[in-house]
Parts: sequence; structure tokens; C-alpha cells
Amino acid sequence: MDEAILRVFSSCAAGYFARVALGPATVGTPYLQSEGDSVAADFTAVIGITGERRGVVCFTAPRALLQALLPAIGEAHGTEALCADLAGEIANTISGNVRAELGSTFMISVPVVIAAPQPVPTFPRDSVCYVLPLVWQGHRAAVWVALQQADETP
Amino acid sequence: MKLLIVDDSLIVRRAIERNVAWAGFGEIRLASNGRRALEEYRTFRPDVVTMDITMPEMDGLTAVDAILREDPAARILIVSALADKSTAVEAIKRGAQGFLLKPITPESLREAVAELLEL
Repeated sequence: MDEAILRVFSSCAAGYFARVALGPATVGTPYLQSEGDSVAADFTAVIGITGERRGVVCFTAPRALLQALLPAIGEAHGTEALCADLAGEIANTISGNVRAELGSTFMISVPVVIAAPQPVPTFPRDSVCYVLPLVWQGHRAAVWVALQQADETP
Repeated sequence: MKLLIVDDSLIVRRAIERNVAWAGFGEIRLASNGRRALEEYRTFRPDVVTMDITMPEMDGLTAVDAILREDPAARILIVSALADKSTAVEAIKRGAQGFLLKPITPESLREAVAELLEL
């Protein structure tokens, strides 16, 4: 996966918070997720990717971030259901927005949201997962990007 | 006037509902996928539909086709995160009247709905 793709994800993640949230988010330098790296937060939304590229895109965030963000979109209460829904919508929006650069062959699934303590599925051994760390109002979250070209042999 | 809001995200459905109060819709119904939207459309006959694309069971573009087959005069605003130009062109080609990119804001929604209603 080239750096340009990670830049697109970084820009779309920052763009979501800039447009929706009360204050921008800082997206840090991407790094490779190492095996056994336990970075899943309270809610993790997983989007399956098919088409020219295959893999997954995830947004993982602590409850506190989602509960702080919900009022910005008009929700007074941060229930578990709304937190899960918001995590899914953020993952969906970031993944959908990158199609401005990656095109319609970047096909996205509906999000599946996993709430802790349910374990987040591990990525296939042959895939490389990049972590885009994100900080918004002191809360840490991350976008995970694990993609391969569809015709790429591991 | 009646509005049908179709999105698999509860917070998006609620955000749209809250932010169209100015337009004076007398009745608003919600659907969480394209299949339910089609069912609602048949009985509810809304004046305007906001339609997500990526949804379970039946996606939004398929639902647009199905609704327009039954009511060629249906007014449908696509509200989607899919930011590639070809998706927007495809939606308009199929008969949707507008395309609003997520994430939505109260202002962007207002502008899109006003345009659809020719206000």
C-alpha cells in the first residue's frame, strides 16, 4: 500500500472531524500495526473492502470520544447504541469519502461494529495494517487500513 | 408535505429529521434500508425521500430504481458518503434529483432540501 493512499485516509479522517465536530482532530503519522498490538478501543467499526483493492478499514474509538462527539451532531445522550452507531457512521463516511481519490472500484460494505469486550477479529497473516492515530479534544482514536491490490499475491 | 428518511444509521436519520424542521414537513417516516423504504413509499407516498446508498438488504440505488418504477414523479435526494463523481452521476442518471455528500451539516442539508423543494 503506498503512502498516497494513507494520505487520502488521513485527510478524510481529519475532514470528518473538521466538518462535524466542535474542533478539528489531529491525525498523526501512520505506523505499522505490529502483531499482538492491542489498540482496539471500546467501539471498533469494521468496513470490508472489495473491488480493485481488498481488505478492511476500521475506526476504533473510546466511549468518551463518541460521547463527547454526539452532542455536536445534536444527540443529547451518549447511549451504547448511539456510540456504536456513530462509530459505524464515521467508518462509513471516511471509507466512502476516500472514493473521491480512489474511485468507484473501491467498494465498501456496511459497517460491522464491535463493542468491547468482544474481541476484534485479527487481520489475515499476509495483510499489512497501518494505524492512523487520531486525537480529538484529548481523546485518542485510530483508523486502521489493511488493503491489498485484488490481484496481489501475498 | 411528507418526508421519508432512509439511512441505516440511526443518528443520521435523527440528524436529518431534526434539521429539516424549517421545511414544515407535516409527517416524517424513517426507514433503515432500501427494502423498507420501498415498503414505506407504497403506503406513505412521501413528497420527498432522502436516500443513503450503502445499506443492508437493499442498497439505495436499487431502491431509487424500484421507487421510480412505481412513481416516476418521486423526488429523491441521495445522502451518501460515496464521494466519487461516478456514483453521483449514476444516481442522477437513475432519476435522483440531488446528491448530498456526507458528512452532512445542518447548512448543507438545508441547501440541498431547499433546492429539491425549489424554495
